[in-house]
Amino acid sequence: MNTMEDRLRDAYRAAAQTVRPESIKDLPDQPTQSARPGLRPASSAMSRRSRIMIPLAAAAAVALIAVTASVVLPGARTGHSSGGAATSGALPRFFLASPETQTGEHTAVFSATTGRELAFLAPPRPGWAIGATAATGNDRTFVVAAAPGSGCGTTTLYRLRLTARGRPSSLAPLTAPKIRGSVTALAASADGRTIAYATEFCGATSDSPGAIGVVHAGTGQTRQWNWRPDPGQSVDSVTITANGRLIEYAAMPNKITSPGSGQSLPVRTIRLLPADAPPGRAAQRSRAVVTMSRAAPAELFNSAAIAPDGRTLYFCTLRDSGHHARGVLVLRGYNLATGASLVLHEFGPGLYCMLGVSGQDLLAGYGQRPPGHPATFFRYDASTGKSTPVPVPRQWGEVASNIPW
Amino acid sequence: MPAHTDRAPGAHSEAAAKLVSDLFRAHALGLIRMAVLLTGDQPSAEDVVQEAFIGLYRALPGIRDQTRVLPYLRVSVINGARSVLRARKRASLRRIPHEPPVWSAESAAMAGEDRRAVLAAVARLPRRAREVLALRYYLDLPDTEIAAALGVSRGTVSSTASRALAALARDLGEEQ
Repeated sequence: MNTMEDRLRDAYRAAAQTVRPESIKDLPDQPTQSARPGLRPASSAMSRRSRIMIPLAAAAAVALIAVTASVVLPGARTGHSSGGAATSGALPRFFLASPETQTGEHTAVFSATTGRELAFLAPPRPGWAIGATAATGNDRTFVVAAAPGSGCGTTTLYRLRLTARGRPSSLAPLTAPKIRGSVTALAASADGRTIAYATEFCGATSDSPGAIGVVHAGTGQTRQWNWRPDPGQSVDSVTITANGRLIEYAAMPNKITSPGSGQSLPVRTIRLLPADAPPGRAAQRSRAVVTMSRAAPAELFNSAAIAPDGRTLYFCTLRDSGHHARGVLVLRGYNLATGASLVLHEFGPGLYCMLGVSGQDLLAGYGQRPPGHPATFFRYDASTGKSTPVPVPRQWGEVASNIPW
Repeated sequence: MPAHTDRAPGAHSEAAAKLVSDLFRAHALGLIRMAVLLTGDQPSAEDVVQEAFIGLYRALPGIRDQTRVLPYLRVSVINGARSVLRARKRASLRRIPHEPPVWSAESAAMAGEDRRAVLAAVARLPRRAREVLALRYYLDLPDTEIAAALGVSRGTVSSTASRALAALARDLGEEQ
């Protein structure tokens, strides 16, 4: 054995030993009368972050209700009466994406048919960074959130207009209040006037709250609902219906309280929040409409989007194969009227996926980290199941989950 | 409409519950420790392992060969750790801090400057290399099992480990 291997083994052993058995409640010393893994009594010393192992009964409780249906997602493409992202039923010609390449991450405009990069999207000011972007009902108009590169302070919203060839023609500040903190997700109504966002307050610690918010460009009216992230947690998905009345958001992960034990469990949920809900805690003002343990047992939530007509939730999960490390990514549709869930498409092996929705059409992509594993993009018509490849550049690495389209 | 319909999870037997319970008692600590090596911090590692057991509980009726259960858990932990790192990467892009890894200077959890240096160098390696090294030098898994866990060939495991060791040696100024 060479020295490097010895040093590695020693370092791994030392790092592993930082996890002491006594710090994990209910490991070998756990009373055995319960046939539940890791059940432990509620403890006043329990940290805010759950350090429990899941009680089986709680797992069973959240898994109990499964959607079994033969379901039909609502409507043909003509059904999105409240206005999808595309105009006149035509598919949007452009999308924005922030791929990671060997030279770093950048935001750019891409052709939704050829996948070709049409224009680099420069931040509005030197030293600023683009934090998030959103599509509107006009495929040449997007909303952009940008902030000083330090990340501290406030985020400003801009309206990006493209030329007919997809080049930026203007990036003008919206008449809207600046948003405190770093915007992590952004969505806009079809008319681009109602803008939903998620923020993580600048300089946040694990105890600092973030917010889901909605701002009306023009009137400047703002409404915010607080949420409290755990370390590593963020709201990765915020979308809004075309009429701007209903906000979808998903945190990774949410925490729910086990009905069996009263303990906090990390469960991915997709939540709906009325845009006119009174201010308060987002978890109280919203409702969980998709709980992963019910809708997609043993799958990891990846990204989500609500259809412009507010009838369907689309979400992407990673199905763990158990036999190889690369799980299969699955695109699902959830009928908000009936509660029925449907597997729409299996992407194939991958690690993460991206979604952009326009009417019944999705722009979807999936890939793996690190750079070198090319991302795969395609347009998907949920009413027919037909998919059309969008040949994005092969050097793309990870892409931000929101692909405004 | 293209479709597979979701299926309701089957009922779980007492035997299955006992099996998961036994597996938990036997392997949770080891899996959490492995997850710490991949994620760097204990809370994330615990969440990852917790999710792995949730997944196992639901998947158990479909696992006929019970010798595959522990490999299943390992793969689930690897996938969960990847999810954590991915979420963390996004958070770090937005400058949101997460708990420092146990080998960082900010953490007092692990003693030994050399150990910190080694693991910091490991943290700079590509993801697959980090996973191969942890499975090989912490879990002492044979290359065939590492290959199965990572979904790559045995040759890839071997070459990845060789390159990773060479990179570490260069990084740490150690002749190979």
